[in-house]
Amino acid sequence: MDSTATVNDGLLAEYFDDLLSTGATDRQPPPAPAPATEAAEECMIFVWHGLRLAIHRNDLRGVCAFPASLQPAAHPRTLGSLDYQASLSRVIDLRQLLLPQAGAAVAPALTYDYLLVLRDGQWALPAQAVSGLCQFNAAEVRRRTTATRRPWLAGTSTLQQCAILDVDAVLAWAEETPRDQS
Amino acid sequence: MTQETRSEAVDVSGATAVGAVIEPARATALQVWTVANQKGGVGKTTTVVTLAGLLAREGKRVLMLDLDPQGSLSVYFEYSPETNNGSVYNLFVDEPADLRTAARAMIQETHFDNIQLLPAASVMATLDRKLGARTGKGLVIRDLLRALQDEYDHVLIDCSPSLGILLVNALAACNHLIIPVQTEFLAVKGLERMLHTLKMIAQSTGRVLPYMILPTMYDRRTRASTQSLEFLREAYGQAVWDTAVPVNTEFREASRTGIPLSMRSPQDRAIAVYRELCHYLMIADQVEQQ
Repeated sequence: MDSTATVNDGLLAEYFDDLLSTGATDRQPPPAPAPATEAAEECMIFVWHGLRLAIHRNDLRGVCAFPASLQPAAHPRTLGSLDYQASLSRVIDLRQLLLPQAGAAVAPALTYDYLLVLRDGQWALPAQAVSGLCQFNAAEVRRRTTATRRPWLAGTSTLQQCAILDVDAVLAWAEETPRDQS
Repeated sequence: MTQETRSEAVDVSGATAVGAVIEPARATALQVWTVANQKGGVGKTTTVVTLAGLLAREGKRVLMLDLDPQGSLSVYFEYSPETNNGSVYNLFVDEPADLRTAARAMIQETHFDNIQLLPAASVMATLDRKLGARTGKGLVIRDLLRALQDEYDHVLIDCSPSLGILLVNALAACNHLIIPVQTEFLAVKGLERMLHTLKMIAQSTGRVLPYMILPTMYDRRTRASTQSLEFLREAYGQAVWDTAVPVNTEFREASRTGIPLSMRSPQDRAIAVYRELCHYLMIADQVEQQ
């Protein structure tokens, strides 16, 4: 399965979830993101294995080139770590979060060109391309209103054709220790 | 799609029960069979018509739902999708409080005892654009059939090959999926798409839908047919129905006259295949309901 297929699957899964949702689930749902405000939001769009993703500007500390090599990190949900502005920043393995069923089908980390360093600098996201900052108007953003099995997805922008990450959920996931590793 | 993907697609039984949960359609005694394949021209409408004829001959009350905007099933029974003003489109868009009454006004008689039809309308093709992925709109047909469950023994749903709101509804509403597959290479590829969709919907609903692959238009004189059937059996094993429906020009003649072949020539060799399948599905559904 190539990354395009898995991206398509992600979009299809979201479509099926929406259509088939009864509003009732058999498990404790993650909280839905805060409702959107009418004001425009500024987001950074980046590309990860063909998937266009966005994070809110306030969640972004900086962007840097992906280093030639990463320091090994013990945390199972990272690709490794690097020194960024005097702090150690761990690079999140988005493959485990976004495409858990794809396994090794997604190309390894060395193909990345950029790092998006988040908030206090302790975590970073890998990217193949960075499109820059964009204004997202509330009308173009379809916010997630119900809990889905993708808590990392805050919403989608119909205009920019990208998925907006819920950075709180991404960081919460990254900081967890997987059950089989604990 | 790769061999690896195909293997995954077959294994719908391994789908994880996560995501939005819908109650199983089999909570009711009504048996709902959806006939679908994401490839056209594989014998979907023929399968619906033939099974409807067989069930009606056994005294079962049958409702056919035409969820294909092209309306081949409706045309078979002399209803035009171009002029039809009452179809499931109205149920999706008008959201009537009383689904049963609204549907009763649209359900049509056919020339055959025990067979009724909810015909298609061309406007159904606009549903995806009109509704997008609005929450819960994948369950409209399931709710409709629950409202009608005392009036029929069997519901047969004919689907469009396009993946959209109508196909999702049909899959969410049924107890069993029948996937007719023409025994030729391109049709086999369409089957892979269908099973992949099925797997993804199972992940979304937490419900694994039983399915049966029905090889159709089998011509044992051609290598394409024999090799395709061999491939199907090797790749999908027990999910492939035991006997392929042989190619038969009588089906074309039956559609011209508007009389199901199962009523016109119940002893036909192709009908024997459908009869066995029909009985198997009736038993399989009863077992599951218990």
